[in-house]
Amino acid sequence: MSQELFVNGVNADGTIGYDIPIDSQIIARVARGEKLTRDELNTLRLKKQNALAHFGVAEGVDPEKLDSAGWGVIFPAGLSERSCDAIKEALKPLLEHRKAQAGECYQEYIGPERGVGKNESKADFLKRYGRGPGPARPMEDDGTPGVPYYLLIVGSPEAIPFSFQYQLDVQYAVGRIFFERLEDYYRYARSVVEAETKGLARARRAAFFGVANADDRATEMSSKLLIPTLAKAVNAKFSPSGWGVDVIPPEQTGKATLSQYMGGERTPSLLFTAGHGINFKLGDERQLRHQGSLVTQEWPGPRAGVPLTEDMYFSADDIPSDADVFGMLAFMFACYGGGTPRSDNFWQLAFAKQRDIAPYAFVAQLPMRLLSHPRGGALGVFAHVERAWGSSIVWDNSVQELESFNSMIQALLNGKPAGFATEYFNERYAEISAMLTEELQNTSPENQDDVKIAGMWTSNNDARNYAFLGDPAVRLVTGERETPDTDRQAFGEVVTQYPEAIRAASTQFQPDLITYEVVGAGPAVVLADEVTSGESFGFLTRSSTTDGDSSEAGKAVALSGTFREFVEKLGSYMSKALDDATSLEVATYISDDLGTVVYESGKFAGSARLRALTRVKVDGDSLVCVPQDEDGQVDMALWQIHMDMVRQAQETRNELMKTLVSAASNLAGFMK
Amino acid sequence: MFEIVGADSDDPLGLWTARQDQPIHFGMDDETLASPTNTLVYRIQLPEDMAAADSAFREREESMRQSARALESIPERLESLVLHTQLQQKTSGSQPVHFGTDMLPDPEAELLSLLLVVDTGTESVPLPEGQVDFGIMDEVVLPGIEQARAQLKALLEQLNRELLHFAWIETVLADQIMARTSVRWTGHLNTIWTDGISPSHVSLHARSLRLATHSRALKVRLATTVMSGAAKISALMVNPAGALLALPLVYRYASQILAQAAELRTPQ
Repeated sequence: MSQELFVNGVNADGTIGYDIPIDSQIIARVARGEKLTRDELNTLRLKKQNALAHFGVAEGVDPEKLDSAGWGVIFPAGLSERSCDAIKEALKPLLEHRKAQAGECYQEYIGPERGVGKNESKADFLKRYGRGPGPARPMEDDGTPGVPYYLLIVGSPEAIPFSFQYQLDVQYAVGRIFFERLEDYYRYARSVVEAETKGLARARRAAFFGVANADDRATEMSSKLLIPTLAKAVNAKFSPSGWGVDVIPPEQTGKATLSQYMGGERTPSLLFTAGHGINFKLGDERQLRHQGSLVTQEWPGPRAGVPLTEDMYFSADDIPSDADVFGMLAFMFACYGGGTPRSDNFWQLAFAKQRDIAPYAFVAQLPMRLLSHPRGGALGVFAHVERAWGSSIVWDNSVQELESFNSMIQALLNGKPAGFATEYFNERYAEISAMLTEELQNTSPENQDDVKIAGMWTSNNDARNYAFLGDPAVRLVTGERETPDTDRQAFGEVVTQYPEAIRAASTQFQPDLITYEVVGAGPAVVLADEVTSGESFGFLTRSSTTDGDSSEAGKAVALSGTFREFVEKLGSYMSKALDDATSLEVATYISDDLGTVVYESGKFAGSARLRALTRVKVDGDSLVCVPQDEDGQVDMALWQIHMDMVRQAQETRNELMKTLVSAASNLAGFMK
Repeated sequence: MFEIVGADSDDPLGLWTARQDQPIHFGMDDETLASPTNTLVYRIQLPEDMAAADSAFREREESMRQSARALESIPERLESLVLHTQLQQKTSGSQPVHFGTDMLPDPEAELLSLLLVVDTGTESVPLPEGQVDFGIMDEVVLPGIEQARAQLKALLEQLNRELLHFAWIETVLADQIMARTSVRWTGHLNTIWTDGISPSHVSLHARSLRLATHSRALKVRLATTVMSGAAKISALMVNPAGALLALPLVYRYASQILAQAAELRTPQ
């Protein structure tokens, strides 16, 4: 028996899921082929056996107290010393805060010796610190340090893969942050510390936002089963203690409404959204910025066959700089809402062929924007990495499987740390993994029910691929009286008062992802050489002998002069661009009267005043001129404008590289 | 509202309107600039109402994305067309110059038919019944090829002007210039802002920059896509100069794909 399965997530062209129908037979085949390592299996079995008794930590360890459960931070081992120092400096408020809370159970896994290696497994990492499968123990009885229960990964999923995070999360409470700008690390760190130490209280209000697009089974299921069930349970259990619950009717789940709940006047302390996450094809320029954005009610559904436009989804670009998200937590049930791996895990398993779906693994921008907001960041976002399958909601095609969601939300509302609350999904992952393994081991393939196996496999994937983005030790910060907006805004202003060390290092800062892209520019050099060698343009030279001819061939040759000039200039341009690609210069001027400004020798003159200059070289030799106001203080408003221009210049540079590669390959095709 | 000042011809992507005024700003005299008149100015004139400005940007940004997607689809479509035609020739045992166009989309059908004209030098080709009817060959088809050739030449000339030079991008709000940027192809930016500019106006100029630099890159992609497309399609031709002869036809074909994408665009 075979049954077609549906997946969450809508492609940018308006279709859903894969470009081939995925049925239970295919998935069952995948399930039979997927092998867990011995370590992973042991860990999952232990997790299942010990679930109720230990709940992730060893006996005697209190998961709600950091001085008992411990807290640690993990960096990629390959991060340069300068980047390590810069990020550590930016995270200093958070690290010092957690160190004070965790005491001897605080750990830093930073640097080439202690950080996580590029291809290091979770088991190997733990082994280096004397730990194997089993519950977390931050400190042995004899005082030997173990590994803390709460672990914050600081790095891109290229440097520390999502798979490492999933596997570590089975035993530990794990979160991740990764920002492209140093200031964003500071904003997040400061936001958490301000929220936890200055008595911030958001109103006790949870909001449930479930989209229901026309003719769409996935969102029909989430809006009719998931959202009402969760909202009802929260209402019944928590309204006596002052919690208000907003359930947004599906027909009102448009983009404008979501703006109100995500930074607008109706922002709750806990926001739960369910719907499709948008999926862009590899190479689509929107992918890195908008992948996993939340598809809203404006999308007319799969039958309409309409490509998605920005009016139909909510992205990081839709969080304005004056949004009020400080202190909130969000749960986004959506495909790719947390991030995207480089290649499709399912495709690899099903067809033994790597199918790249992104240029590199990356974290979704919407959660990162929320966490690093300049008016104070959200504390954390729980979201799904990669494609989500419908079986998160319905088990075995009949039973609603919502207990993990329900328990997690209730734990959060009860004030449990976010990483601890997410243990319910880890329990589910462990349990289904064990069931799936047993099913496969105890029955022969001919006696197995494909539909059942497929259901287990997709459920297993769903449960595994949830990830917490943010510090796993954060909790909801609520109170009977909400901190007035003006006071919250004051907290927010604090997070943008960057210390001198951050400001000095920010323009030179290169996140590990950017370093990866610079390395990726290598092939462009090779391609440019190909073009240079192709400058003899034999084909064009042959044709040029027919100048003056009025036939089709003659007219073609008339065109060829312009064409040849273009090719020659392109070749010359590529060569110059590659020479020039080792540095990037951005200058910001202001003037009271642009009409009196002149441009001479590459610079503005006349009434123009140079206020900020950044010159970044790949070798790290950088020049930064910071604007000052009349009091000698850094002019932050202008500095922000300048930094936006630096980002713009980097985008333009990336676009240039893509154009170069594309042009070179096209030229190569023509010259053959 | 979205203009390229100093351009001799319309933007092939349909994103910008050409204006032939001389660029008058700053008495430009950059060291890399051979002549001030060589520099194009991307000028974005926005209404004072921020919502209307935002809406204008959204519409243009969506157009740009549509164009990019349409452009990306061309190599694959041409590849399929070549395979389809070669397979048809093989199974029908016909001469290589005979291209069946039944069941093909209009742009592909027209491309194949025009290819026959330029490949064989025949100006009047009897088209099989039921296929794309171009009317009178001399009045419609040949001027069409001529026009495509002129447009491609204009695109290449525009790119020749822009390559190795920089462009100016300026954002004008309610007739007041907010900001100007000189941007080199390699990403270096020099920007001058009106003193005391608001954050919302800053973001408008950032969008202007993004739109201009992306559309500039798209034009290069269009040119190189046409080149590789001509190389692909020349596999169906007998003339040894096939790829060069096919250039204007593939450009015309690409223009049709871009125009179709613009027509299909969802109204905002």
